[in-house]
Amino acid sequence: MAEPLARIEDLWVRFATPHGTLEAVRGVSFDIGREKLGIVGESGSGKSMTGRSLLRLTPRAARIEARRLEFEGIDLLRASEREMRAIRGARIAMILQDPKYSLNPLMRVGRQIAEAYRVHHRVGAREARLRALAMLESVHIRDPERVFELYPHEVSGGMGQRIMIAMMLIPEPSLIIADEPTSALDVTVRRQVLGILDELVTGRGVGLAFISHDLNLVADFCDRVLVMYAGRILEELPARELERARHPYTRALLESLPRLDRPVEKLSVPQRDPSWLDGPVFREGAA
Amino acid sequence: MSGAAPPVLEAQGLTVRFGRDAAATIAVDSVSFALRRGEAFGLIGESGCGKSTVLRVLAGLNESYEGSLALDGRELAGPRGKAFFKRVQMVFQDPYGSLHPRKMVNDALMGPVRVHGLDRGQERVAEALEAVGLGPGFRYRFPHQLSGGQRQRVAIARCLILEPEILLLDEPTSALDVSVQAEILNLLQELRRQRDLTYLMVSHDLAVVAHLCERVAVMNRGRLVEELPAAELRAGRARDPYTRELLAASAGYVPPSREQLDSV
Repeated sequence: MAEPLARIEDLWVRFATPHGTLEAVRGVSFDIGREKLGIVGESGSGKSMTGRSLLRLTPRAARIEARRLEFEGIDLLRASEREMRAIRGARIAMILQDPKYSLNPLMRVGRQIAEAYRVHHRVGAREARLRALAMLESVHIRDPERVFELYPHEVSGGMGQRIMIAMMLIPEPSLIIADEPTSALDVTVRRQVLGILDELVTGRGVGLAFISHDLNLVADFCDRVLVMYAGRILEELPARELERARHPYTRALLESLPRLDRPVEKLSVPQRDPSWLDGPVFREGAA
Repeated sequence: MSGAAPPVLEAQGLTVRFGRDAAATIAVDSVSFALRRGEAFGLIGESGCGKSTVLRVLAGLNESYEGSLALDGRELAGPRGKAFFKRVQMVFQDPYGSLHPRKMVNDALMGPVRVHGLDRGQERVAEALEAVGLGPGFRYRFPHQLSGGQRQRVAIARCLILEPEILLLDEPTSALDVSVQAEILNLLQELRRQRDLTYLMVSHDLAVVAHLCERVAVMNRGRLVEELPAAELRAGRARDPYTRELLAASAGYVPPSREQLDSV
């Protein structure tokens, strides 16, 4: 891999609560290049908080600390709020789970996409509109002129997520953080949305951090996988080797899923081991 | 399970329309199926296919429909009475929404006891909690003090307390993490064996339905397109093109062709 887009070393995210400090992310280290990196874990594993730390979009009460939190050579921990605004959207974009809540319900979707472009590029309304239409076309919307004029409530979930992808990609970011982008979608629609994301990410050489709870999906879609548990990375491995994962937690998660091709009488339920909280990290098969 | 036994629950030509005349949306379009006693039957489909509406009609939550519904061969008509709910209970998708936030577990479980005027209330609560694997310590907790999986266990306990014969399961695990999903699915499996329950489960997840049910039916746009044994589904022996598409999409991510990417 060439120079990575982002380098994260020993990232901690802490919340001060009346009952003491809560550690949401505990010493996470990884790089992202121009690849599809899957970050998987169950709820509360710190996967979303890790993604949000890169944009410094953690809740106000959160304290982010890291030995290194770098994106294209910029120290994200020292960047001013003004510098962060120039990075968010333009250079690192974020796609969230449900387009229903990410789009402005009172604005036509086309205008929202055009606006995303104009915030970061000095162009007139006419050119922004043309760019937005072209972008709608590149997310395989057959009739961009018609969709441009629609309001968010007039589009389906899958169409909404196509629109979100268009909006996030139009400023031409180099890194996209997608937090459960297809969890709210039906399986048949999910495949299309992933196909579009794949085509654009690969075609434009963009880095993608794909946050998900769905191990099998990540194994098929991504290049590399990080498995998180209780704020830590427990295992890192190439996606196609997920079946050969060695960490007991990863194994247990895989075995707890009902599968069509492997009927079982009883599903195995992961038994959590306290030693995972500070045990070794399994990287590419080596502990 | 002999083929001669009469169905315990049966729907015939079930049709549900929302709206009037030409503007009506047909949510469920002449759906027929029958559940034998002690079996688990799954309805699979994507959002908007009408699968949840079928459950809601059965539970009496949706009163306008055409066609016939029968429990033990007797037509179900009008609002469901206590006698119906004594035998048929429903588990909802979201355990965060289906428990009263200001009622302790004990109160939530005492609700059905009181409504049905049952004796030995406290003992029944203790038994129901034990059946779902929660200790007596959970009795005096509020829902916010429980995890998602524990809440779903409480919701199941609340159904069990009436000792029903049929459970209507509306996506009972789709709001849960995979490890918790495994726990709940195991629990449902075990309860069914112990108590000889009949399940009607609705879900979008083929693997989950095939795990719990022996027989499945696939719905698309309000119509029941195919009914087959779960083993046939597992083996990929589906005849209907929509079922096949669903199977392919559930198998994992395979990059679609360019034409398949286009919006409709």
